[in-house]
Amino acid sequence: MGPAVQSSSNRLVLLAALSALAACATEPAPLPPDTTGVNRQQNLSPDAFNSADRALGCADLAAERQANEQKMATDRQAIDSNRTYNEKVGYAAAVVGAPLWLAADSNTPERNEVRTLTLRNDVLRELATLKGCPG
Amino acid sequence: MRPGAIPARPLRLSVVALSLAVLLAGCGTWSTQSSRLAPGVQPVAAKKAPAEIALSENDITDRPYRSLGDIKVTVHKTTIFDHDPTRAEVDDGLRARAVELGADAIVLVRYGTVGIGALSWGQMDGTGRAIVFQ
Repeated sequence: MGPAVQSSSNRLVLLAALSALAACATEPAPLPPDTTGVNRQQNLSPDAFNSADRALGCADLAAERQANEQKMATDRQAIDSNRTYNEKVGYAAAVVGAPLWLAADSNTPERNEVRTLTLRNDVLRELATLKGCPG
Repeated sequence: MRPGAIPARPLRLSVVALSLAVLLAGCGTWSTQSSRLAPGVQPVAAKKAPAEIALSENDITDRPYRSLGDIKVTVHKTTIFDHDPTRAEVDDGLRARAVELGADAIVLVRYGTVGIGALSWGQMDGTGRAIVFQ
């Protein structure tokens, strides 16, 4: 095998390995600092929020949180619907060879959006607590 | 060996592999836990049964509580033949850890997505904050 062919083959295997990693389990977004427990390490302060967020009312905060929850549910559904397919690709790749991993669908945009929206909802929840919003 | 006869060694290997697969398939899932305790918090004797531990994806703001720490659970499926870990199994793991800490509830529960992990074909993470009401 010539060096050019070997280099190309190595790149393919590397790409397949990266695809396999993309089909990995994703961790949940990190928990926010404790700002509500009696032994909390930090207090909520209006200064921690930007002016646009501070201007939101309780109804706005609740509506945005609900919309985010719906988007996350849709994203999770998209990720879960590809799980069986990715699993089959994984089994086949284990038998046939690593390049088959390229066929896996990583759902990276959906996974990133779930994380972003979870963190955004943390901000909205803290702001709602600071404003004394119901629920 | 007669022509067409099955060689004994590969057959024995197949039987061993099949037995192992059946044995492991019975395990279903297994889980690992970790926690980051709040400063000054020491685990206490369990006060509640796991089923009595309340779980919430939100915070609790209408009742004072003390945070015991952030707990994390990873549920793995044992073999490729087992079902994928579910949120209910992650909840069970979180509740089990919360009981060890003497918690009343877990707030801010959130889940990862199922996928391949370092140790299994399918794993799911879950995390939350163990609390005790004042």
